[in-house]
Amino acid sequence: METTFAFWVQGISDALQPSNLLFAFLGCVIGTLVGVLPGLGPAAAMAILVPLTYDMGPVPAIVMLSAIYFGTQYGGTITSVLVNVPGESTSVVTCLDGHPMAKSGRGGAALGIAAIGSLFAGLTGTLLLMILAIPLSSLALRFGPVEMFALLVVGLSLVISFRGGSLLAAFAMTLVGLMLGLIGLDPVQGAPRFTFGITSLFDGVQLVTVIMGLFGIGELLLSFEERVPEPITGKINSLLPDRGERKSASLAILRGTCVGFGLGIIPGMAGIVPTFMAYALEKRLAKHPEKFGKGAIEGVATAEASNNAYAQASMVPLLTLGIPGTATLAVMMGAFMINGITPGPFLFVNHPETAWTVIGSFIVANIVLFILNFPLVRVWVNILLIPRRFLQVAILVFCIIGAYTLRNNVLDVLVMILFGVLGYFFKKIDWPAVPLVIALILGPLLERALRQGLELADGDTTVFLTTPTSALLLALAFLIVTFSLFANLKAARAARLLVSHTADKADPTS
Amino acid sequence: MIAFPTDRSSSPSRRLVISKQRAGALLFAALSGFFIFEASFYPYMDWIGPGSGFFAMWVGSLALVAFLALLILDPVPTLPTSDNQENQASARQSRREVVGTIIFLIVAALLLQPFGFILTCGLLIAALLRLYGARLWVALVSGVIAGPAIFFIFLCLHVRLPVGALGI
Repeated sequence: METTFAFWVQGISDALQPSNLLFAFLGCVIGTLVGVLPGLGPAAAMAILVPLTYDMGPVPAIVMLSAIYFGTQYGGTITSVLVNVPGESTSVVTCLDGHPMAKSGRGGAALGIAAIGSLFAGLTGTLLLMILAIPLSSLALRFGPVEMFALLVVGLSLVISFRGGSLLAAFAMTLVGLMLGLIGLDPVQGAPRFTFGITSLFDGVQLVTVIMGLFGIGELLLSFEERVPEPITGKINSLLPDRGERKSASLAILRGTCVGFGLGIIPGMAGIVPTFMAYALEKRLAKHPEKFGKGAIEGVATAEASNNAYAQASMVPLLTLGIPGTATLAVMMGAFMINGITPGPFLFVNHPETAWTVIGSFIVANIVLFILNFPLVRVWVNILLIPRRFLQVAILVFCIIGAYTLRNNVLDVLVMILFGVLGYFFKKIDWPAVPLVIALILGPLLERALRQGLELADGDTTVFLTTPTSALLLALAFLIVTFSLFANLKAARAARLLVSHTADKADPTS
Repeated sequence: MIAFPTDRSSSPSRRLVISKQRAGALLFAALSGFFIFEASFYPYMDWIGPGSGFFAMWVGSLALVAFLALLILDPVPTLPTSDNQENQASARQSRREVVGTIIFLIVAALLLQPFGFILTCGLLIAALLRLYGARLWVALVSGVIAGPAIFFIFLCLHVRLPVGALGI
């Protein structure tokens, strides 16, 4: 315990070093900008910047990328409130009450309470992460290849189940990701596979190019079909909510933080789920639930607290177990690995100073973001006035630069464009891309764990069921998928009834 | 998902989505089949345990089954959207922007090394802005200024961008 506390102090102290502070600040600015700008998500933005971090060293690189991740949560709030378009998927719920508040001239209060709630949730989430990190990674250290395989299966089943939409499509996309992960060198024997003689493919399909394609170019191609409403950029009044609003929002912030962290710690949990659940809980407990959806400050407070607590909590499975739950965290994992550090249970054993400095930087980032966003929100608002076409062109150019500078190879740019087209296509046909990305990064780990487990058991496949921890985890994965399947079937039946009912109303003679 | 007959309320746009889903499922089923074929050339088992082809075979086979299931089973219907004339005109414009963007990106990627970054970037920016509705002079001026500016910024960040045969 004393050693852990010493690491906490050392980590925060290292995070406050001028160089790390600078990169945290830079990351916060870029992250907020990314969150404000429609059409560019945190995953694509971080993927574009990863090549620029090669010369920085592991700690500044991860500090900056983490700050970008948290910054997008703050920045997404601004477009949610002022434009009614969520800057990030986790900011969807903020639109429900934030935009009505802006329309009634209370946009400043909405942004203010969002910043306060985000700060509280961010700091609380980081503290809880610090408390949970060592116990969880110690538990995972006892895992051998058999248990690790089962844990990764649980991780993938959570990603499939919590994505929403068709379970079968999510499962199929996961398998596509696993297939893509097989391209390159065999992780056990080192022989090339599925490279077709192309030496550039020996290192496999680059995660960064896939993410830039799917979430950068793909989303941008889709944005051509969307009409973005004009932002409310009139005078933003005081950012401080009044006394009554502060009182009612404070409990909402606390509850949102608990829900966001509690659910965010589950690998694969999509950020929108805890945010919606926190909102639903707050509405249920409110004295005036009829005000929700029309400008209730508690709605904004709980949504923002939840999505920031979720952002901190999602770091727990990444840092302690090596399981990224989202595409953004997959980029983070890729950035760790590029710098020679593998997130997971051995992170706190082999690189404790790096791990704790990164965690310490989360505290710094949350404070910097509050400082950047609370008084400077009017500055960010002006960015929304930049014509969209210039932003779209800039995103495309930066994607090309990001892909090319990975290995100075045009093939990476072409692969990125291919995945951009695929990302656009997947969105059009409602196939989720996130399971593909998570499976791409976990696939080699899954294969290595499976093959090593079977080698140790002399080829006996029942080892995964006879080992108690593995059996328990696989049973959990089975329950998750089964529960999700039933929920899916129920939703599908309800959707068919609704569509059929609507058709009957439209054409009563049929 | 359990198969149901195609719902009569499906609008033309929804039927188009369903046919695209089936096309996607067919394409990926074919890719999975090709993947299994390639995996058969790698050893399934070797003397120490599972070989290079072990995991690949299983993943490929599961993927083939999953995509065939997506091909065969009917997707869940959604409420029909309005297919009025304004939507159709807007959809045509969007499609033009999407296809144009993809073509320009591919051409830019192929020209990156022979032409160099500054020229390629300038041409790309001008072409994209013109495609998105900017006036010709705005597109040209933006291309001329932005290409060298971005090159210089990344030079300061110690990021090497390609210099073409013309030395720019």
